[in-house]
Amino acid sequence: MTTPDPKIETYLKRVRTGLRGLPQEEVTDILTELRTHILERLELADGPRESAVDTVLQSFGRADKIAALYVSESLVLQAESSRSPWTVLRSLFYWSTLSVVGFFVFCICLFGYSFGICFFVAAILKPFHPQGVGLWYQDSPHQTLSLHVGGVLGPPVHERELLGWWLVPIGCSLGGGTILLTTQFALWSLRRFRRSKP
Amino acid sequence: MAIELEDKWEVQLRKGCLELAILASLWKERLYGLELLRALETESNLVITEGTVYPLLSRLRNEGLLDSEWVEAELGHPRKYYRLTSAGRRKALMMARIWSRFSAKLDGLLKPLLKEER
Repeated sequence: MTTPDPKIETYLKRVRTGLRGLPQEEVTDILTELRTHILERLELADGPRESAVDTVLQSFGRADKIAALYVSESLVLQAESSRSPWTVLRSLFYWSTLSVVGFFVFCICLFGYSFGICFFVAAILKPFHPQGVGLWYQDSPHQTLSLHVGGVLGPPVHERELLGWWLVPIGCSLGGGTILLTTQFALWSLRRFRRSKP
Repeated sequence: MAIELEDKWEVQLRKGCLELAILASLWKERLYGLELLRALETESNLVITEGTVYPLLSRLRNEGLLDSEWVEAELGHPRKYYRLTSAGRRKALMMARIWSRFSAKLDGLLKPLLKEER
């Protein structure tokens, strides 16, 4: 069996760093497979060992790129299998640390989920605090719309409630719809991110 | 510019065919990573960066198209062998039929171009 080489160990360490966030068992499995391949290629290589190591590692590709390929696969898989906003956002957050596009998609989805969850929560709380929960419209001076959820403080002063009890069905469908659409958008973006890799 | 376009197109084409080539290579027998790469190089002329084949194998396994198992070699290192699952065989067959129909039609379309070039 070939003795481990410092260059190979450094290379595999870089892969390991790029794989942060994946389950430990999976990381060990990936690194064992890559190490086996590299060592087997070295055994078949001719010439001085040092240059053979360089050639093998070069033909293997950049460590960070290989790790990013594994991670992109795992992100899509986790988000697709769970579909919960939390898991989707966690996958997007990880992607946002890798690319600018990922960062923008993360921001859009964070906004989408917040918007959807606010309406959903308001719809659920309305029957318990009918006076304090609602969509309010301020006539003057700024003419603004606000979704008010404040059971303790009571209704906002000088503002007109727009939806009344309609907030329950509208909030449920708008909130649920926005969460669903945001998830679809997130999965579509993650799949595109995966397809952009070889 | 033309060479760059040719390179990009070829890269995209190879990327598109890689999944089919991997599934087809595993049609007859189970293979481990290095064997699979050799098969791709010699039988399909697909030369890829060696390390990138593993994340792709991992994806195909996660999609249920491949199965994998570690086999302890008598001499040397343990090897992770990949084989097609029944879903993988169905997909490989479906892709092969589509590819075959598509390339036959395209060949007909390209014949006049290639004749003129000669």
